[in-house]
Amino acid sequence: MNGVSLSVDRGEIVGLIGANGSGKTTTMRMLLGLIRPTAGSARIAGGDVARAAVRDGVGYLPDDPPLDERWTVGEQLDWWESVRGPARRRADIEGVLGVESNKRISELSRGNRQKVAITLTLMHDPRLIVMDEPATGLDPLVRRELWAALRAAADRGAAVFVSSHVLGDIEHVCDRVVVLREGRAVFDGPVDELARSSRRIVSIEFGHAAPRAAFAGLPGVVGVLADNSRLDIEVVGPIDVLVKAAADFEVVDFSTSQATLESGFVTLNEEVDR
Amino acid sequence: MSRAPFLTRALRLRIRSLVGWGTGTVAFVSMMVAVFPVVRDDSSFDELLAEYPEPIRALIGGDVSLSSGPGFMSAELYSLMLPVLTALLAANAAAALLGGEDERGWLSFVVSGPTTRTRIVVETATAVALVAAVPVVAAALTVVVGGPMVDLGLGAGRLVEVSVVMWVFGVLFGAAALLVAAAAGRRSTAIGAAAGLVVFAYAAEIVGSIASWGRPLQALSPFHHLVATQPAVLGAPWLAVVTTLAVAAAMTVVAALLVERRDLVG
Repeated sequence: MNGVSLSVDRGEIVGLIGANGSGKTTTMRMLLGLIRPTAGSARIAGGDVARAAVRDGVGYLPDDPPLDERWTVGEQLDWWESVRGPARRRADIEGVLGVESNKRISELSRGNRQKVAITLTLMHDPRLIVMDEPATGLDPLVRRELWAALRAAADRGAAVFVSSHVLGDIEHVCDRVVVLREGRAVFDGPVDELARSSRRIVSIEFGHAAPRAAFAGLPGVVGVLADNSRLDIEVVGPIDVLVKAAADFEVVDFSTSQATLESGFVTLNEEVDR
Repeated sequence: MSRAPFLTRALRLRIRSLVGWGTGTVAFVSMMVAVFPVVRDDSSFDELLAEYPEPIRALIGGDVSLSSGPGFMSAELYSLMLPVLTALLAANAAAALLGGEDERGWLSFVVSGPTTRTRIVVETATAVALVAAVPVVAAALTVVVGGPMVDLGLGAGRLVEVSVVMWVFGVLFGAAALLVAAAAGRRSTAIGAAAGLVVFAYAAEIVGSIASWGRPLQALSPFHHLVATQPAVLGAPWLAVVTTLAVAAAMTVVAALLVERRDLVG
């Protein structure tokens, strides 16, 4: 990691995204004091994470949750309560995710193991939730329940920090997104902002020969392809200037690809590459 | 909340293995006890032993009389079999419970909350000490039950003393494995290092009892200070017992400090 500085506020869900090896897991492990930075610090509610008391109220879901194979789900959850105390949200989370308490963990599918791990993470109603790829192995319905549970936790005042390769999920759930690239944070801002900055193709069909020159120099336009009466305009960022420019001509059809977090993420990485 | 959830978890997860090792120990010691009358009533065993060269006698526990119950048990059980079993069982438990759990990410998962790493090391060390007691207690109970049937003559006092020595011997190697696991965060490294130490300790005792140049090595061997003193016959070497426990405790403290200071592996 190199000079990463970020924060997660109460009531906020922050997504951490990046390519494989970009430092997502390392960032989370530093935040929890599992590995120590060579410089700088990680703090929870202002306290040094190295102090155990500061980590009270943290719920962590690692990428590959280490469950005890020989136990039943119920035994695993009971044991976690013996470590962390009675869990006030255990029944809620078990019900929402459909966890089967009497099944042996060694017999569970990947998705069902993930449900158990998520229950362990959330059942004590943590104030800081850190999840590394929580949606792994979950079917779409359970995934929805997971994100709803995280939103509910944030609404109760929890700070949620989550990484995922499923950018569609991040886009729908997160308030803010941090993009890591080779150990550096290259974007930290609202999800919409990153999505809006994506590279898109705007196609305009005119009622006459395509006026290529009128669009080529507009802000954000990085390429224009003319084909008789049609223009395919490659644009980065807002397209309102294109809309305004098109209003001066006879437009037969106007279409654009949707600006998504994924397209914004891809564009950002391409720009960093340049 | 449980007072020692990591200790109880460690024992619960190993209960089947411990029952297996305990049962195996009972079976082995029962056979030894059952065989004793045959050896006692046949003086040729002692005569044969007396004719062995010194190195061979050292291998089976030094100068003991096989016709006495304590001497027989010392040679057949307490000179090699039980101490090595106890040491390896304890070392394996320490390696798995600290190094193995670090490798698979369990340690990270647990200490991401308010649990301290030191607490886990201390409860793990306690679990290792209890694991080391399993074969020792199983052997002792078998002797208590079977000994009177064959007039073994190993009294309660001596039995307790030799059992304490065996247990302390196991605890020492368990603590060594704990220390390596704490430093490396790897199960295989810890068990490999502890097994290597057991082999070295035994070899050093044998070499030192045969050759004068091996004496300095022998002085380093826990076999020499604990097992080779024939505690079943002569009683426990209490100074060595206390010193060994102090060394094991010191290794546990260093293990806790190492785990507190390093990055976790998994």
